[in-house]
Amino acid sequence: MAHKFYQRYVQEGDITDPRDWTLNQQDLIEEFNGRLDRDNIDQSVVTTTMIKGNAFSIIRNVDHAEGAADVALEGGTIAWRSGDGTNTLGRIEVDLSSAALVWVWWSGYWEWTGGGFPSSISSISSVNTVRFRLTIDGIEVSRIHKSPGYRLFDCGFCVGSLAVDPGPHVIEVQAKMFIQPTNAAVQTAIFCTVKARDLVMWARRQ
Amino acid sequence: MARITLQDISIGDAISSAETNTTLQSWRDQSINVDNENVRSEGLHRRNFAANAVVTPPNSNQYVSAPLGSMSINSATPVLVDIAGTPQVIGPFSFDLTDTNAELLVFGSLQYRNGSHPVGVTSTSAGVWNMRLCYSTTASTGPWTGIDETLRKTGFGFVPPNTIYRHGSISWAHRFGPIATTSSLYFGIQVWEPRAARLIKIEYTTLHAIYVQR
Repeated sequence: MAHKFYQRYVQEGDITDPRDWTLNQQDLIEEFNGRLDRDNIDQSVVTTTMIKGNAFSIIRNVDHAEGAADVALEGGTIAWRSGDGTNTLGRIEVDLSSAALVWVWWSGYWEWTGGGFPSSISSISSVNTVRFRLTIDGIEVSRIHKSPGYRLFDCGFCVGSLAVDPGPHVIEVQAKMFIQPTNAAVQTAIFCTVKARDLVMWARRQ
Repeated sequence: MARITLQDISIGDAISSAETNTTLQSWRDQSINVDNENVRSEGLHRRNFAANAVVTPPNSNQYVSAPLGSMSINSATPVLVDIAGTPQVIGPFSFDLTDTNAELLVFGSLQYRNGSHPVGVTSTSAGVWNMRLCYSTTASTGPWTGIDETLRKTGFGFVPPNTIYRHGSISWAHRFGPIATTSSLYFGIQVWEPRAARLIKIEYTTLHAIYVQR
């Protein structure tokens, strides 16, 4: 409701007609009962406590300290995977009632065990690698590419975003190992265990 | 929703003040109950919102960066990063446990270099540098509690024929909470090397946090 004018302007000397009263009131009441807008509300008056929770942002996270929730990635599996069958690298499911821009961040550290390490770094054919990707609804939005196994302990960080429609969405972290052929005999004994990790999602509603 | 009720007055009705007063009473009673249903869809403009009503950016105490200088750390126990005499600490922040809609996001990064692996160290004796975010609910000087979910480690696993150096960077994005309500919440970064306290240099640090309130 921006500008309202008198439907019927009553002047001195007019015969009293209830229709004038009714029409004027009706016009204003119809606006008040559901059609107020920016022109009816002063600047800078809407404060935090007046805003409903999650009106603009939905934030979710899943994080783990090192310990029981570690993800032990076995070298014998070479496909992309989201966990070890017991624990997951990071997964968030969210149901959005409106379209949004979704930002996601993931960071963590991992440790290699089980051998397969080169005795010297000149032997690149002995280097195993692990890579991580961050996906939103199956779409890769960021990647940590090829952390080598000669880094006994290593860590990484990735960030990505995607505009999504209303509805259910899944944010998931996946990993993939590559074990050099020279280490084939021991690949099922090689593990890359992902330990402390942190997945954060911020859905900014449109 | 506040809803005004109109008392109709039709031609032929007896003149009475009751109808007009009933309508005006409705205006008076309902005008203080305006809520979201009185406002049309997409009816608000950004100018209607107070500053920082939705997201509060960091103020000067809630953001720190160190584009110059470095800190050498060779400790087996956590050491708070301090670059050129400036502790990489941010705060104070207020944390209200009862406000379940507000979120505090912490972001940090650093670069490390010269983490040396001397000749002949093995995978069990080589340096493993630990880095993590930490917080204090007392003061900017601590005491500090490590945020275990943000622990990050880096180290080699082979026997070097020559001394080699470890370089790299670490970044964090962390949703903090919940802890007890406080108005003296601070964040920092800790680094240490528990095996042999081997030296590493920390530089180019940044640390900041923002409130996402709605």
